[in-house]
Amino acid sequence: MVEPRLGHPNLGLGVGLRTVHFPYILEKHPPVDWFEIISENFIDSQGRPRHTLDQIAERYPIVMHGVSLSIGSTDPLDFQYLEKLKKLASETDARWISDHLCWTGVAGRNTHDLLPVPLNEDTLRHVCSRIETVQDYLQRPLILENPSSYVTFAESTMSEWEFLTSMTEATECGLLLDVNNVYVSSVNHDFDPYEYLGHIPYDRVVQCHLAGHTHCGTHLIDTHDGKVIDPVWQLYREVHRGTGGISTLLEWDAQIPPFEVVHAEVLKAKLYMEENLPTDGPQTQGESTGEAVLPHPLHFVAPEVQ
Amino acid sequence: MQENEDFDLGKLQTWMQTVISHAGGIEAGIASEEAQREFKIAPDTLEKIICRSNNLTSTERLGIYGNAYFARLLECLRESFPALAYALGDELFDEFSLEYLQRYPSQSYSLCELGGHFAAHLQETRPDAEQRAAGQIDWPDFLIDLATLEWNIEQVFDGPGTEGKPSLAIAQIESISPEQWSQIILQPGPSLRILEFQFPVNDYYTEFRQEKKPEMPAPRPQYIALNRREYVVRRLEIEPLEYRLLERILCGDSLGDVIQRVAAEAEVPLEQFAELLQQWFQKWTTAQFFSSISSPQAETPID
Ligand SMILES: [Fe+2]
Repeated sequence: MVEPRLGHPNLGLGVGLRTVHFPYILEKHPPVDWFEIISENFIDSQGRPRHTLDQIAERYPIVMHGVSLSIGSTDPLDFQYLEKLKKLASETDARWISDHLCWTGVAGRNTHDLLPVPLNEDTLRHVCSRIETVQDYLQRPLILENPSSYVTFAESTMSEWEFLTSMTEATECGLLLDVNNVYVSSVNHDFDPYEYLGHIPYDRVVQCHLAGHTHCGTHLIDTHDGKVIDPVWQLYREVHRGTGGISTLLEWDAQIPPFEVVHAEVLKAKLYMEENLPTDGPQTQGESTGEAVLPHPLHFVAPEVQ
Repeated sequence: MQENEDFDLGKLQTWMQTVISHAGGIEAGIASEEAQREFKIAPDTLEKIICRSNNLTSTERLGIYGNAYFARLLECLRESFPALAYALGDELFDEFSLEYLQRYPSQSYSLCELGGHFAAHLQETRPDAEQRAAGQIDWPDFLIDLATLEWNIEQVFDGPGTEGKPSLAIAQIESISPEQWSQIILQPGPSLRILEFQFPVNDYYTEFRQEKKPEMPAPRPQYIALNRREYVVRRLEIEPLEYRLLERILCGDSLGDVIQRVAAEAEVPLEQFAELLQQWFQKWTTAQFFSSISSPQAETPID
């Protein structure tokens, strides 16, 4: 018998911490429930970003979300990177450490993209054995997210939900269910997102993500540059029902609006915890803004200089 | 593609990385020698590896990753080198960046290191190697200087600093006894860096930040000290002699050695040199260049 959320608390409605919001957060201490950081932006920082994080961690629960673990790669795991994750997690009292079911590069290179793995017994074994190594090292369960993806492989023999279920059962790792990614991938790969959610082992979901994406006509791209669209909110309603309440985080990484706008967007989740409908009318399609359409993860911190 | 028992994840990943990071695009990537080494496949048989969707072909789908690869990294370089991007113009900056990313693909978990070889790359690929050998200073030197300045600013911003710790005060230097003076070693703060340029790129950078749309300046040497106070990077122009002194101090030489060596090279009367030194110590301590003084004999910091 598994405890709900693998025993983790429901932290409530959180926002992804972005440097443009640093001054606002430090000054106003907005009533947001928790923050998620991009781990790579802080593990080496010895300047303003880390100093600010330390102040924020004194007031708010912090969760660490990484983009470079590359759990699906055939390159060796980077223990120096893991050591830095572990150190920052202990220094900021991070509630958990997450990354993605993906690979980011091979042969010593990093594409800085979240590339999908073929879903079959071979890759499942490979990923599970690496998860166990990471969990042994970090001394805590790893939480892995379903990525948005744009290709599927001829060598895949199982669905993503089957892969995720077997993975969490074999390793006791947790799941970060990105509801927007389920939607994006369902459109890109022609599957029913409700069927996907129907097979998710909800007691192993520790957290969920919400985000905006861009509709490119023939496919969707996970751009994290706008509001959450109505079909994704409807899926979130399902996730909330299935999990009985879950730490929920909004990711906004491009054309980032003022903090209040981002915070207000994640607070809309409350409407889907009851059987309410949003008051400002549903947004049915990701709006294309004419800016470069780039899947996350982009993480760059501009220096302050005089 | 092979039967499942021959499935090789490493081979697939090597192939996919090669294809999506090929500068000529997906189809050229698939046809490239490197990719063909892994899978002898043509774009029209790509479905043996990548499935199609209802709306897109296998090539179009893989192309989404291909388009994103350079676009993402170019955006990151543009953010790291805004003044250089302005100096070059978008088109040329992208062209140089594209070449750079092929020569120096990212090998780090962090995007913060992406631009680390950019100045070196510009030096290695400069089109004017012959003029350079003849001692001419030209456009490439300006670009290299600018890239060096921007890269160092970024490193100082997020590198080690002394915030929250005391820095060395002028009174501490003045209280040193004459017998001790030549023996002591000034400990620079960890953020201090000194840079020597052939162009006044610091002025150019200032004007760029003030949105004054600067033109490429005429060459003249410029010496800059960078350090960080209250988490903000400070730029301070220094004189050539100051640069030489700080260079020796950063090497860990004792003050006696530093002064003797630099004064000998400087051809400045000793009295005048002593006066300048006093001014500079004042300037350096105000700018918080140093964290402490140590004496090699005592092996302990002098308060
Ligand atoms: Fe996500």
